[in-house]
Amino acid sequence: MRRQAAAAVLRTRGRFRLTDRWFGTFLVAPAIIVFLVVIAYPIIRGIWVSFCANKLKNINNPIWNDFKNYQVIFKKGAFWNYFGNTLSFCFFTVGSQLVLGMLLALLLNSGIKGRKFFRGLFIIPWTIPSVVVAILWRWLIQQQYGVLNYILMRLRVISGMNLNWTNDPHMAMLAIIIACVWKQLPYMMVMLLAGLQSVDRGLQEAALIDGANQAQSFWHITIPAIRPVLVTCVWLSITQNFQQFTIINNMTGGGPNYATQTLSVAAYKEAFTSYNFGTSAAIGVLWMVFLFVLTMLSNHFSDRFGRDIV
Amino acid sequence: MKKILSLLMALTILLACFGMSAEVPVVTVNSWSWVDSGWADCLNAVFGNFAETHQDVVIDLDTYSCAYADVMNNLLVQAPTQTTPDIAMVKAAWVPQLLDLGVLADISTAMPAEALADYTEAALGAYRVDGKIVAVPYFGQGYAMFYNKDLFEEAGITELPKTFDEVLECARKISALGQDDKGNTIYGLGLVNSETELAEGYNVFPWLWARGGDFEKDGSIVLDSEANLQAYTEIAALYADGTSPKGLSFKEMRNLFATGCLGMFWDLQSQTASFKAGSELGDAFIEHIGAFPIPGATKGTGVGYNDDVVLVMFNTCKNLEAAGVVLDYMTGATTIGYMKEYGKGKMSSRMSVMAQVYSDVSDPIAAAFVDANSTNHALPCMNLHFSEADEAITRSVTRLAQGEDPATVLKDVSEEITELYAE
Amino acid sequence: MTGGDDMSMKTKQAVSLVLRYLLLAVLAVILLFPVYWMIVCSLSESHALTKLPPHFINTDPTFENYLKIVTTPKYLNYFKNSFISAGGTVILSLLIAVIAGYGFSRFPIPFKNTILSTIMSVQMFPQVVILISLFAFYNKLGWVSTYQGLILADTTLVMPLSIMLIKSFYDTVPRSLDEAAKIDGAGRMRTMFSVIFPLIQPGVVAVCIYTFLNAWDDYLMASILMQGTMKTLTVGIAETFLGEFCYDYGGMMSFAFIGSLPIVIVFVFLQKYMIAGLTAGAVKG
Repeated sequence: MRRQAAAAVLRTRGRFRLTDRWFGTFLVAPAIIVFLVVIAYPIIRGIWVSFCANKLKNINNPIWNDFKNYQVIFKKGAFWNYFGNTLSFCFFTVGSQLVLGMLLALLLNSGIKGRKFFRGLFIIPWTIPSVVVAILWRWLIQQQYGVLNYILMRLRVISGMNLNWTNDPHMAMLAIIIACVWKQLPYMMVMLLAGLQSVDRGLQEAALIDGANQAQSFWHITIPAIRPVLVTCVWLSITQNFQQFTIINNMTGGGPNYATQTLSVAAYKEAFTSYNFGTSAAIGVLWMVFLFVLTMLSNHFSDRFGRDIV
Repeated sequence: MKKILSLLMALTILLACFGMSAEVPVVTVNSWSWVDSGWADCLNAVFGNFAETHQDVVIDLDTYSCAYADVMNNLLVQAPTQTTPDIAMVKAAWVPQLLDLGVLADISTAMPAEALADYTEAALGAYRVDGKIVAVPYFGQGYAMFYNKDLFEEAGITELPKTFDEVLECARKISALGQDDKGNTIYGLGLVNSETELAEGYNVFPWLWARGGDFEKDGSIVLDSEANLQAYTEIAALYADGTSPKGLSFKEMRNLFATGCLGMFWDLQSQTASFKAGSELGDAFIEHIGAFPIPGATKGTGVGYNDDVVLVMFNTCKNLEAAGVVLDYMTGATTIGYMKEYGKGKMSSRMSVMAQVYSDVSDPIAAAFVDANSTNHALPCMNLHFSEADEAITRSVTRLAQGEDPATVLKDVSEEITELYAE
Repeated sequence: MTGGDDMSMKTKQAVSLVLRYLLLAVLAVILLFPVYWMIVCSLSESHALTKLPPHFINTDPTFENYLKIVTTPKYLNYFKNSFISAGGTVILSLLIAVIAGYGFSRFPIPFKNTILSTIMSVQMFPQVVILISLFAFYNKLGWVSTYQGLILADTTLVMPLSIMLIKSFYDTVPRSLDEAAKIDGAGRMRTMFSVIFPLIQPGVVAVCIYTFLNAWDDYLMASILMQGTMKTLTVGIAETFLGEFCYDYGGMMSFAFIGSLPIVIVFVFLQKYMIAGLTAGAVKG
């Protein structure tokens, strides 16, 4: 009797384990199929196209041309210009978001009433579509009638309505950074706030009792405690800002004389203004290589830090 | 009861649609109405009249009102998918690209021979490729100088400038006025230079021509010259001393002019509608402005230019005869007449049309543009790379506005475009 | 003495509290000023906007800008296209993510971690490269300017995060519930739909909102894949700015405001879910 029961259980167990795998695979199959068809294949085809001459004429018949596309984009250092613009744009945007977001999150976390109300208020910029953000800020920085120039003039920062935001390379970069930070800041704030709220107050209070001041407690207790949230947020923000296209294209169009032309704007223009898909794909490939290397490096470093903290 | 009635109505309408679309040949036409609503009224009149007078052909009109660069992009996207319209209104500068894609049909197979013979050989010859007519001139858009009468008065200018030097003098006198009573800056001469709008770089050509320089001669790029250097140096000075606003597109410049803070700038006659719409004085703003042909280096010469708009027929067009009727109508006296009536002031390259429509011109602004037409240069745009060259020029002028050395900028842009054209 | 210390502590705390509220109020004003300005401008006549000094408060507001937008069929068409494509993207990605999330959460799928990290790394891929290939495919298939084309393209943008989001919600549901259902004799499908699925409703709502927001926001894909009458709102707004509203900033701002409205409304009513969704993965992960 017991032997039979045991055998039956063994049999059922075996059957369950096999069909478990199959069932699971069936569940994720649609996702994988979509991923392969709409993401993986286009990317792989894109990598191939980057080594081909592919214009609108021969859109479905790319012709292999070795590294010619890569040579073209490195001509006169064009690629390094785009790359540099992308890096400085990302650095300042993510950096500002982080600092300001942390500030806001700390404020909201400091035991005031109406946290949910303020949080709801602050999140509004994030919900505004990127295109609207672009044209809104474009209107704000308009030289002759924009309200930003007017406020600056009244504050005596500039002498007249003479600050041209889109014609100066640095001001143009500043303009797109401000617009992007304005839109993305709420997201960062919400994430950091959630992270801060999950930190054990007991630890912070213990540190304060032990004689640490606010800053030390913040740096050595709070930050490490929300490290996972920080890392996720920053990483997400970096990858999103590498992709940032809508706001930049609609605010400065790549900026006075390529000053705000980031990799994504450059790739888009190559593909859909000059209709040169080969060079556009080449820019994309180099971008992926860079981010891949960055990921490897950051994984390597986070392993090391992981060991330190533990 | 109500429900049944509305259902019946819907059914009737549906049936009517089906009935209507079945018999008559339909020609799809792409027409873009650029910036202002004034165009919409004109086009309604033109195509409304066509519908009334032509029972045998129906026009399916698709009007774009967006940046015209978008129109070109739309066509380029439609081209490989064979979803192009039958006839499209395009800038002459776009024809080389469309030709390169192989989507243009021979218009001489559709348009009646008498209509084609109505064109001067100079006008039509530019669009004859391998014996095929790939485009017909629709209308020429001439650029002349608009000026603000009030500002001229305030600055004490009594006579219109007759040479380019006098233009610059007047410009500086006007911008010396400083600011108006509300604190808005007053500019003398507006030179368009925006990188968010594509293909507006050629608006510096008048300056080059006024100094004796040129963009292209006999197929080679002649940008790097003493005359052009003088022009570039003067442009840099114009931006540096604030006589012109920096980084404005044509549309923003029109807006500025409409607010009465700009002394002069060159533009199309049809833009008077934009000025009216953008000014708080409304239609009355016209009383405060005038126009004159852009003067060259010496009296009597002009350096304005014509930006031609042409009609092309795509090889997806099935009803050649119907398309020919439409082409004839669109380039004919009725249409050009309407355009003149609505203040668009488009000139035609068809001899009979010009004789009919422009036999007498009473409006002073229109008269100025007709005057300019006789001295206007044509744009050297029938090259595959002209639009990219155009953007290179825009970027070079941006560099001038940023205070870079004109000689270096000129040399760089000349090299860049020479390389481009060599491809 | 202790009394005195307590008093100064209390006033210090009170002052600090007031200062913090003040700071928050100031920051709120600065951060929300652009939105306020957008509304003010949309209610002004365009001519008033091209004059100095700008008016920070509407002295006589006008609704003609809004009327212009809602009475033009072309603009309403843009809304329709955006709703259909964003809605379609939500449905498609929800279908995929709900079952995939359950699979990843509960089952021993071969190479699970590799697959997951590959899917997450999709966000690093340049969207333009994907767009180039999609554009070439759609040209062949005739899918340019079709809803299904844009829906598929937008799904690539939202799929990674949707799957991870739903998976993390599934992870919060204890396995013991699965076991209990199994013991009660329920098949795996029944378990998933009747037992587990109802428990992750907040996650589903969060994914819906997130997907809708991103699909509505999409400009890159829509600008190339949708032409003519199929254009979406984002492309429509961008073009209108460069087009007939060059001198009509009032009209521009009203179009901008109406274009933001759907998302802001969705957010206002479903704030709770959105925040829960945003923070779910990050905090626990």
